[in-house]
Amino acid sequence: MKFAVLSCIHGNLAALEAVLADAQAQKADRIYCLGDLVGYGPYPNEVVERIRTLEIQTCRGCWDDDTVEGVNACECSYPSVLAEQRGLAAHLWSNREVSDQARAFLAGLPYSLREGNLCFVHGSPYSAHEYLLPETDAFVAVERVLSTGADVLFCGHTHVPYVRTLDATPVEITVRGPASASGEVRQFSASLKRIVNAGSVGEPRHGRPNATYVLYDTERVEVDLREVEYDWRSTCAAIVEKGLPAIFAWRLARGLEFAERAEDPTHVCTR
Amino acid sequence: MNSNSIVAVTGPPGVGKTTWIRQQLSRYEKGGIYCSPGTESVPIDWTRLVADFPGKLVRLVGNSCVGETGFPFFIELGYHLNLSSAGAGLEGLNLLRVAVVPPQTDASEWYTWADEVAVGAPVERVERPQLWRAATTGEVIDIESLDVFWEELTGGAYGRAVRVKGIFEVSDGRALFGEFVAGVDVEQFTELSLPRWWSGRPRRFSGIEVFGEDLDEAALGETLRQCCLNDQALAHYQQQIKDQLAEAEVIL
Repeated sequence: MKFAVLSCIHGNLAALEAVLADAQAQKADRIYCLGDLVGYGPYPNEVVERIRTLEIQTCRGCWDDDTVEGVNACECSYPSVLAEQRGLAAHLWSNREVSDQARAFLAGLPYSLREGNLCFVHGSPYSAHEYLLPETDAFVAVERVLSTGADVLFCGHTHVPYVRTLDATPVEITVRGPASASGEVRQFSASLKRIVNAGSVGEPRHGRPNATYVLYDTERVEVDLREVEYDWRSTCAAIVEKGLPAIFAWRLARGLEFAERAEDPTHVCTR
Repeated sequence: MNSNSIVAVTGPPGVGKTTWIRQQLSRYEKGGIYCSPGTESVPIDWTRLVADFPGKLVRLVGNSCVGETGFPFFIELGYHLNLSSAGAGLEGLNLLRVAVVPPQTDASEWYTWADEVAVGAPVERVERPQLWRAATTGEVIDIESLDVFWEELTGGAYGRAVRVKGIFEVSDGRALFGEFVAGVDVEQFTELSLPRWWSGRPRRFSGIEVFGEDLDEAALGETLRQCCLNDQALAHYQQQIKDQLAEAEVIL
């Protein structure tokens, strides 16, 4: 089986269409989506409708979460005062624009999906807002994969695609509890695990405006990081026409995310 | 050039007029006098020179550049001034006219005005020159936001910026001098030798000047405003610094 895994579409319909066409050309048997259908981009309702009508298995992203529940993060979620103001402006715009029907669809999305030994989440198994970066501490990374019971964890949220192989290594943990206050040391060996980040369809952050997604071949256990060209100029024009901050168009054209991740990417606001 | 000289310096933005003046000033133990007509409300270069030459006499003499004797007197003339009239009123004085020009410039056209021509940085030409200035005195800028704004500004997000300079008060109390010249390798930010401001809003000059073309002045002003800290955030940062300093004292 060949799966196409895409993430972080962010209302960029042109990018989504290009990725869907590429996935079809690559003969993908099934498509999984890791969320963030809305936010920043000009076509949130159209993207939701396309995903819904194609019945693409989708989990809920942080932007989908905030669109349904309302923004519930303090300034710690943003790397700068400027990014915070831009993020909030985008949320305000999305709240006005997203239809009730689209909102209801987003509200029904699960936080994770399973397919055999594969798990699909937006940020991490613990939160759609947590970033799993290539440089995330190896123990944390292994723990996140182990917590799912899967061998391969697909995630998005960082907007930069990568594959991280966590070699089989002995793990030593200390368990403290009422029965063993001094701490009981346990050792076990974690089998080979992988984290595959699908990048971003609609808001790339790899220095080019092209969409990224991944193809995963379950028989060959192979990952193909795909970069797809599309008419990003039309999306940039729509950003301006629809009243989103024009700087989003400028940043999209250069493959710069609109409001970068928090300074501490593992920090998850629990307010 | 003697200490009674009056030196008028001109050249395109970013070519190095102030740098040339700084080099000259450094040769005078007592310092000198500096003025730049038309920049009184956004005196970026003057502020930087004062910081660069602490204790030396580097003074802006009102708006009229009235000379004093015994000190070299530098007048920096911006591109926006008409050179034919810029020296008016200085006839009969010991005036030296210096043009700082980019390399490969036909110096002959400058010699119609200048007594001396110095070669500066290879700055880009601008067809429709536009100058945007904003004083930000009292504002403190979030440094991470400043980095993003600077990247966008110098990358052309708000129009073609050819020369940018500014003094920014940032959240850790420093005053930074920011500088950009298109096509020229310059240090982006350097800290000015000024006391760190850790209590309330700074009561000293800060501001920015952008030279280029097709500048979106409204977007520039709005983005810069979005980079500024509100009272609550500023108080929070300054308290953090005070706590850290108190902690460091206890450890010592």
